[in-house]
This record gives sequence, C-alpha cells and structure tokens, in this order.
Amino acid sequence: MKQTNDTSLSPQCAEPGLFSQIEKIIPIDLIGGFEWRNIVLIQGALDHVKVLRDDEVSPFLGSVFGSQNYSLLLLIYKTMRARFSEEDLRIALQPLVEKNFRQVARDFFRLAQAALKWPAEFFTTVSSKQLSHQELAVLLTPYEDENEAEVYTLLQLIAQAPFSRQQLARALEWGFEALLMFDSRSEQKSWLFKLSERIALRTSSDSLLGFLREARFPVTTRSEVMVESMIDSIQWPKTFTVSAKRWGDIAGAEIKFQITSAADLLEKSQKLVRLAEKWQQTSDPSVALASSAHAGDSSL
Amino acid sequence: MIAPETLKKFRRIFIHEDSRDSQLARNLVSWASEKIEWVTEKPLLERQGQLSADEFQESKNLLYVTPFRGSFFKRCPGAKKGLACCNYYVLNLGLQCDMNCSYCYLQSYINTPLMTMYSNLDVALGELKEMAEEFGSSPFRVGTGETIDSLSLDEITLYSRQLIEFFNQYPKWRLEFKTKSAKVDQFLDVPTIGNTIVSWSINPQYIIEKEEHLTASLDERLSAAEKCLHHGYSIAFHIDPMIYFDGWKEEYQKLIDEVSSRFKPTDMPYISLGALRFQPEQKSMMRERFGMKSLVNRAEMHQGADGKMRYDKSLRHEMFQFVIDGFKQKDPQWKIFLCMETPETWAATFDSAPVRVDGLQELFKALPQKSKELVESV
Repeated sequence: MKQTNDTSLSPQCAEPGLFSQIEKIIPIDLIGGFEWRNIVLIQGALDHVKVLRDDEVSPFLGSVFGSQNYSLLLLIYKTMRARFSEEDLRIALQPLVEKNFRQVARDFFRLAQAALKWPAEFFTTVSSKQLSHQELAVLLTPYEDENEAEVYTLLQLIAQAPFSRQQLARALEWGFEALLMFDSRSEQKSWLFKLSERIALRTSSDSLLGFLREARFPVTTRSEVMVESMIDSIQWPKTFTVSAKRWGDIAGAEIKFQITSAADLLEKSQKLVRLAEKWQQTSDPSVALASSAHAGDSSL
Repeated sequence: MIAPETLKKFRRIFIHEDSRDSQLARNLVSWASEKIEWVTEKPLLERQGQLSADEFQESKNLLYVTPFRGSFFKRCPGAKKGLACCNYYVLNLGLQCDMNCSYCYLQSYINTPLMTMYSNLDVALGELKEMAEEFGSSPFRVGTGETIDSLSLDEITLYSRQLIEFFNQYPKWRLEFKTKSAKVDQFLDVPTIGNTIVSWSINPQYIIEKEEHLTASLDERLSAAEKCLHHGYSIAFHIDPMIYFDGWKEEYQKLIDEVSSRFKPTDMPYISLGALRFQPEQKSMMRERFGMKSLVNRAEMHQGADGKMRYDKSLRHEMFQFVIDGFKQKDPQWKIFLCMETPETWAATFDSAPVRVDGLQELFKALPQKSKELVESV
C-alpha cells in the first residue's frame, strides 16, 4: 500500500494555507465548529484516494477513518459523495462499515443516502455530539418528497438548539416524528415557525423538549397533565411532598413523607386512605393512585 | 388440484432435500415447479441475523420448506412471570406471514430472510399424541397461529384437515386456529366433534384498512365465522390489538354492534381483548416500514414490567372497559377476557382475578406439566 496520511495530525497542521485548499473541496459551511483534525483527515483522504489502486482504497480508509462515530462516518460519506460515485464509495466503505458497525451495517448506506439531503449544521452538531446509529435511525422514516423543505428546516433548527447529547437524540426523535404526524404542510410550517421563535428567544433546552414532546404525544401528555392538575386540586398534608411521576406504563402521584413513630405511622396511614378515596372521587376512575413512602433520617 | 392463488405471492420456493418426500413438497412441485429450487442447507445463510426493513419485506416473497428439527409444542409467551396466563399452548407449523400488519411482532422476532413452512406435520402430531396419552383428559388448548397465521396459507399445506381429525380423538382438548384471513373452505367438509375453535383477530374496518394490510376485511372474517358455525365448528374472536386513535370509541362501538348483531354469546366460548404491544427493538422497523401516518407509530408507548411497550395503563383500562361494557350492554352473557395483561389490569377491569371471573375459570386453571421444556416460554 502506498504512503498514507498521518492519522495523528494535530490541529496545528491546519494552517491557513491548508484551510483554503480544504475550502475548495469541502463546502465552507461544513467546517463551522467541526474539529480541525477531522477536516484534515477528510481532505487528506479525498486527495489520497485518487491515487490509490482499487484494492488499496478500503484498507486506507479503514486506517484513516477507523472511527466508532457513526455520524462522523455519515459526514465523510456525504463529503466524499460529491467526488465519487455511490458504487465506488460502497465498495470503498463497505469493509469499514462492517468492521466498525457490524450490527447496523445494513442500514448505513440507506442512512447515508438520506444524509445527502441533511443540512450542514445538522451534521456538525450530530458529529460533535457523536449520535449513534440508533439515535439517527428515526431519519429513515419515509416521508413525501414535498416535505423535504420542512424536514430540512427542522434539522437546521434542532442543530441550533442548546441541547445536550442525550437531549439532542430525544429532540431529534420527537421532533422528526411530530413533524411527520401533522396532516398538512401548513400545520407543519406553523409548528416549525413556533419552534424557530422559541429557539430565537433562547428558550431553555428543557422547555424546548417539552414543546417537542407535546407535539409528539398529545394523548398521554394530556393524561399526565391531568394527574398534575389532580395533585393541585387536592389539599395535601403539609408534611407530604407530592409530585406527578411515571413508573413504566403507570402514571400517578408519588407521595413522600417521614415517619417518626408508630403512632405517626398510624395517623399518616389513615390520612393516606382518606386521600386515596378523595383521589378516586376527583379523578377519572382509571387513573391509579400510586404512592410510595420514603423514610428520611428516621426509619419506617 | 388447482394451484392456490396464494402461491403467486412467492417469487422463489426453496425446498430442503429432506422434505422431498413430504406431501407439501409434492404439492408444490405439481403447482409451481418453475419456482422451486432444491437445497441441502438453509438458503441465504449469509443474510442471517437482524433483518433490515427491506429484507423483512422481501422475506415474505421467499418460501422455504424444511422439516422442523426442534420441539413443535410449546407454551404460549403469555406464560411469563407478571402476566395472567390462560394456559394456551402453541404448535408452530411455520415462521413468517403472508399478510402485513404494521404491528406484527414477527418484525422483531424473525432473523432469517425467508418464510418458513415445516414439512413434517407427522412429527408434530407424534408429539401431540405423546402428550395426549398422558394428559388427554386435561383441558389443554393448542393454537397454531403463533408464528404463522393458522389459515392464510392452509390451502397450500392443508394441515388443518389432519389436525382437526387428530383432535377429534381427544374431546377434552381444544384446537384453536387463529387467523386474519377468510380461508376456511378447505376444511369445512371435515367432521368435527366441536373441539376445534376457529378464531379471528378482529378490529374495526378502519384499523384493518390502515394497519392490517393484505388481510381479509371485517365482513369477510365475520362471514367466514358464520360459515364455520354453520358447519359445526366453534368460533372465537380476539379483539386484539386494540389500537388507540381519535374516534376509537365510535369505531369500536361499530365493531361491537356488528359482532353482536351477527352472533350470540352462546355461539362462542369467549372473546379476548388485548391492547397494542411490541418489543422496544421493533419500533425502528415499524416506523421505517409504515411511517408516522400509521396509528401504531403515533401513540406514546411505555415499557411495562415485562419489557414490552404498551399504552399507558389507564388508557388500556379505559379501552378494555369500553368494549366489555359495550358487549355486556348488548347481552350480559358475553364472556370476555384479557390477553397478555397484568393481574393489576385484570383487577382494575373486572374487579377480580381471572380465575374468579364467571365462565373463565377453566381457561386460567393451572394444568399438569409434563416436563421442564414444556413450561418454559418460547
């Protein structure tokens, strides 16, 4: 095999002169926020692959891009796709994908095809957060061609939001699913506008997630809102701390209190029974009251 | 014999050499010799493992006929810790389905890109005979619709005929076919002593059109049930999986009206209810294959104690209660039970454990066990 690029290239290698060379190959909007090291590698690979024999391409790419970062690999595919045919890339990348992502290798090229349409800033964000195949798989959900602009906008917006890695994965799933659940493009556009407004106003990530969740799960969200309103409607003893909680497929109220003596236990148990009756009267009978007593410093 | 229409669905048919002398292989050779490829090992071995959405879809077009080498007779997956079990045993005569329901659990179960049909029914009957010799007087229920629809391809195998004749020897045992097809004509001339139950999974026509692709319509299923009743067969309905959507009450009410106008409670031993449930790993494939317009992909599901994704418990309870009340208002004699549900949901829905619900005691009573293998869930 011919000489390969040095995979230990450091950010210092990225000199201004090299930057302008990279610009010629990689769209400038791909570079924003992206690690220098990776850009240099992509640049090097693009140049180097051109002079390799066919049987040298895969081993070379394997040595350069032996990455476990699925979203980075997608980015590499998108970047290289601008220069190489799909078939050439498939031949070159197949062994690498199978080696590093054996369980999900069959999905890679389909996801890569979809990735050709994703906005650059989305790539930058998901690559830096290292989203996995499972977290990106939602983007294989089929949708009408006419929705492409809305999908593009959604991915741009999600990339701009201040999500942590875990939140980003959740936001992507809820946001994408919610967008495709709307019955019309006008509904989609209206919802995207509201999302963009919230992002522009620097709404907190928790609040943004709440907005996405509400669109994605209108039914259960309502039922959980109902539990919260029931908690608010009941006058709880001051020594009880009560909050809405979900345990798997059961939603209800979690009640925490301390027990200080046997007599106290009896008294609070009686209160609990009365509260449970009140809960049943207040609620739709289907909402279960789930309670758990937590001992503080004292033991139950 | 004329080749069954359903054979047209298969692009290729692989038959293992060990199945060459089976009746099934002989039939297939006479009907579709041009599609047949004889093999000495399982085909497409290089594509084993987790299937992609495309591979799963393609598996419905590739038929593989082979002898089954393991134990045919197994306990239903409902026999798990945490679920109320109705003592249902399964006899797996194949794997995969020619229909295409969006929620099908096979999407997370199948790891081979083929539809498999087992050619050695004689071995399965041998297993049943051995079991029956010891427990023939216990009320075992045996179903064939667990990993393949009991009847949708029965015109090809004609296994129903042999099974009905076998069960005629054991009046205490019940054979249950479970189907979403309307294919019953192939066995109606076989006399039954009444212990073969032909059952249908049913749903409102709205759900059938949106989620149960390539299946028979509700009217076709109910008409097939009427035909079976007329020929002395017992019937049952499974309203399962119940699926939530805006307007679910209206559609399920229509279903209740339709069933209760065409059948009486005495026409069937029970109606079972179940709500949408699936393994978490199935979600991606369902979403990819059916998109977000599919009702099964739209609802919020939560992981229950058994690991499966289910609707919120309160929503399940509301849906079950609605259907139970609907039938009971029509006639209090309807016997309804919940399938694959937790004891807590039973208690919330019936105010009682299943063994205490009138008419259902026999289904939930503990049965004798032959061996360790038999009680382990599949």
